[in-house]
Amino acid sequence: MTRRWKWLIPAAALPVFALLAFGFTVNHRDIPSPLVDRPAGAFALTSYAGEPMTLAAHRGKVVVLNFWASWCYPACYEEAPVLERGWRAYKDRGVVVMGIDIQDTPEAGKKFIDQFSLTFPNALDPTGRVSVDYGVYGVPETFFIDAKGRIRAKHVGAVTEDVFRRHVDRLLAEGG
Amino acid sequence: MSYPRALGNGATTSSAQRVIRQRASCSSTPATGALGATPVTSASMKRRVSIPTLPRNDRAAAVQPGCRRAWRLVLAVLALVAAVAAVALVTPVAAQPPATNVDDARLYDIGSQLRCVVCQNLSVGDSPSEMAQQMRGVIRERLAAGDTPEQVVQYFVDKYGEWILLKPRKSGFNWLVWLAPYVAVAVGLALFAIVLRRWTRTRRTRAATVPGAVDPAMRERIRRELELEGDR
Repeated sequence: MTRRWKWLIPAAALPVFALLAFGFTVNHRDIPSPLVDRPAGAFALTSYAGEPMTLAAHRGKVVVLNFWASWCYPACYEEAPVLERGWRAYKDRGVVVMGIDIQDTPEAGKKFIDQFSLTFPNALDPTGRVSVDYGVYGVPETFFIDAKGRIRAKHVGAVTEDVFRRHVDRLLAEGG
Repeated sequence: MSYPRALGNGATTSSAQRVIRQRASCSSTPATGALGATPVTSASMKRRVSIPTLPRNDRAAAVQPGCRRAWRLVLAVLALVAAVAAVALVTPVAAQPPATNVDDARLYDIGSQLRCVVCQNLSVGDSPSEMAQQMRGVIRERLAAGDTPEQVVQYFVDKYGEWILLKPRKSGFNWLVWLAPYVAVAVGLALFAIVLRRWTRTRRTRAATVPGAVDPAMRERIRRELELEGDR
């Protein structure tokens, strides 16, 4: 290889290094959901309180749909009090918080609900169909659904006060 | 429940004993011995009990009508079972519960195309995780509902994005992923061929132009060493 072409060797390695550098800047677990800005999937479950729990019943309200499990420690344990406080603070302003317990046993799910004195509706997804329908690949995951029934945001990981307020306030401000 | 060990001739018979007598007489197993007890194992009681037998004459006289009734009952039950089996065999497959009407090979074929979302490098078809089991359940459900394998795969793509596919689709930007390895191998082979050709050509040229050429420095060193050898 002549001298004038030798610069090609390091030049060829540059794109590879650039690609690796880009890989370090992104969170590989943060997979964008194709469901954002699409209608939220309908579901009909029976809540732990024994009542029907459907999305359709809350059309016209902002819905915070949280997927959790009793074995999901510590993230689900961190966000449970946050969701409960959010539910109590916003329930009179047209916001509904709903929890879906996945890959869990009813006993463990009930124990979790009792432990955090959760008052918002929670239901077990026994077949996992609802979680697949929402493209859930881990817990906790939370979907913020607008009054028209469209998924507007997906949050992976424990919901904080800031995350809850930011999404809910935005959707409330947008109105119906 | 306990039975008397043996029922002698002329002994009083209770209702339980009459039942036992009837069962013993309808049995195809011949009685062992004219009198005395024949040990019979009763599976339902899960313990060994002795069921007494009666003299042949008594059996023939007392239990034939009951035996005939019992045989009729057995034949009726067998006929019913046969009828049910025949109906089950001729019933079309579509009438079966849909969830069981899915070929496991087809299910696995679809599952092997999908990434298990909670695993490392495992497909839905191979993973033993609960999430993968539930996803297999959804595949089975959709196939049973009449979806084609392509529609089932598209359902998962709609929910999870193309990330769910273990093999990216051959379209658009994905072609880069499919072609890059072949291009890399082709470029590598070409470079290797060029370098190999240059090396062989240089060596051939050197060998042709300066046959037996010795480096001047080496020539000088050899000369000095020879001189030193001579001095010794």
